[in-house]
Amino acid sequence: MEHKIAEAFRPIRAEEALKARTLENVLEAAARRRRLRVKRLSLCAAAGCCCLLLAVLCGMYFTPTSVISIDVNPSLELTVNRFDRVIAVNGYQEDGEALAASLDLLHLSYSQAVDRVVTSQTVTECLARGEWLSIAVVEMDEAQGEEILQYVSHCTAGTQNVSCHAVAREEVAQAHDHGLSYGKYQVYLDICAQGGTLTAQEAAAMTMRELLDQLQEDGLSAAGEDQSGSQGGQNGWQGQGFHGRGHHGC
Amino acid sequence: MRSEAELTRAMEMHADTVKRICVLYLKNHADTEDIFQTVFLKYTLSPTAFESPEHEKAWLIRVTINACKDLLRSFFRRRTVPLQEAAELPVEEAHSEVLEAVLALPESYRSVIYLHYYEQYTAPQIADILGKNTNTVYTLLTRGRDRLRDALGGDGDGT
Repeated sequence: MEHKIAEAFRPIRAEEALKARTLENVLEAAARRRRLRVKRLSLCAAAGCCCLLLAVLCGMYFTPTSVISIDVNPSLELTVNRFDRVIAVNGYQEDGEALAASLDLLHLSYSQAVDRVVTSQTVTECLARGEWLSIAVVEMDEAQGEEILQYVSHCTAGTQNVSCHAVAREEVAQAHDHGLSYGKYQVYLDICAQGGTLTAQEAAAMTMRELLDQLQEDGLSAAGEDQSGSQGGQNGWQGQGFHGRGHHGC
Repeated sequence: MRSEAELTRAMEMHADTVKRICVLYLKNHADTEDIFQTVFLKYTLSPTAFESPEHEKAWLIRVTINACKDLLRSFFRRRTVPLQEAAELPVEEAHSEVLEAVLALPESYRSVIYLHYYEQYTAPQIADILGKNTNTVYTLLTRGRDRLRDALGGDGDGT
């Protein structure tokens, strides 16, 4: 049986034509698959690059480069990215949160956002009552900080009871730990430097006008005690429409 | 991916075996050619490193059998293939009866009978190639041989 089965199958052979066709088709299919693989790899690489670029752009977009602290009481902070867009709006105390919620400021340019805040009903009413508006620009990127300061100084130039100044971030880094906006915290530090006994909680509840009055009082009394009187009362917040770089002594 | 030279060498060495297994399962030229090309495409694309020509041959047999079974199970292969096509195969008159008898066996017997009687594989080797138990292969061989004897009118010589 072994012999018969072997003899029965032996004549069945792969013809040369079949081999030739197979060789041609297989090589063509293999080349096609290779091209497809290269194409897929290229697409994957391109998609990967796009994702990476998107991630980098998102990272850049959502990285803060400056903060504009607008304080009257309410207090509001606008976090600005390198593209001059507002990427976060934080209100302090209930009235600050209400003001932040009432204005649609996210992703606007900082100039549009500042204009909206300064011309908002809440802020104009405060200014009409004689409150003090402080706009502090916290610089993380110095060039942008200068630019923002120039803008806010320019746009509030004709307004009474307004001060605009730049603040180094490291000097007010603890502000949020005390529940204060950067601008308010800077005045709080100045009051501390003058020997004031104000707590952060008390400062949070006070308007900027009240804080500046407190600072002036403390400054005057410190000047009275210090006969040299070289710095007393010269706190930089006096007068109307102070614009420039603020200073503080804590 | 294997080179053209490797593919050519493998075809020279194993094309007949692959073709016979295709005939064993599919019994018609069109499907045989399809599977023949599929097997050598898989060979070209496979990253398997073969330890010896025997290993390579066993791999090709296994791949061919699986490809044939896949095609037979295929939803699209509705048509039944008449046995008459086997008569078109280039077999001498004296052996065509044997070939027809082998091709008429159930699938599980067919491959075992072919691998043992033509390719000279032992039962454990067949078990390894087909992924079956060795005792199952022995059983299939005995029953297949009995069926062939019956079909050929006791013409088998009992080898």
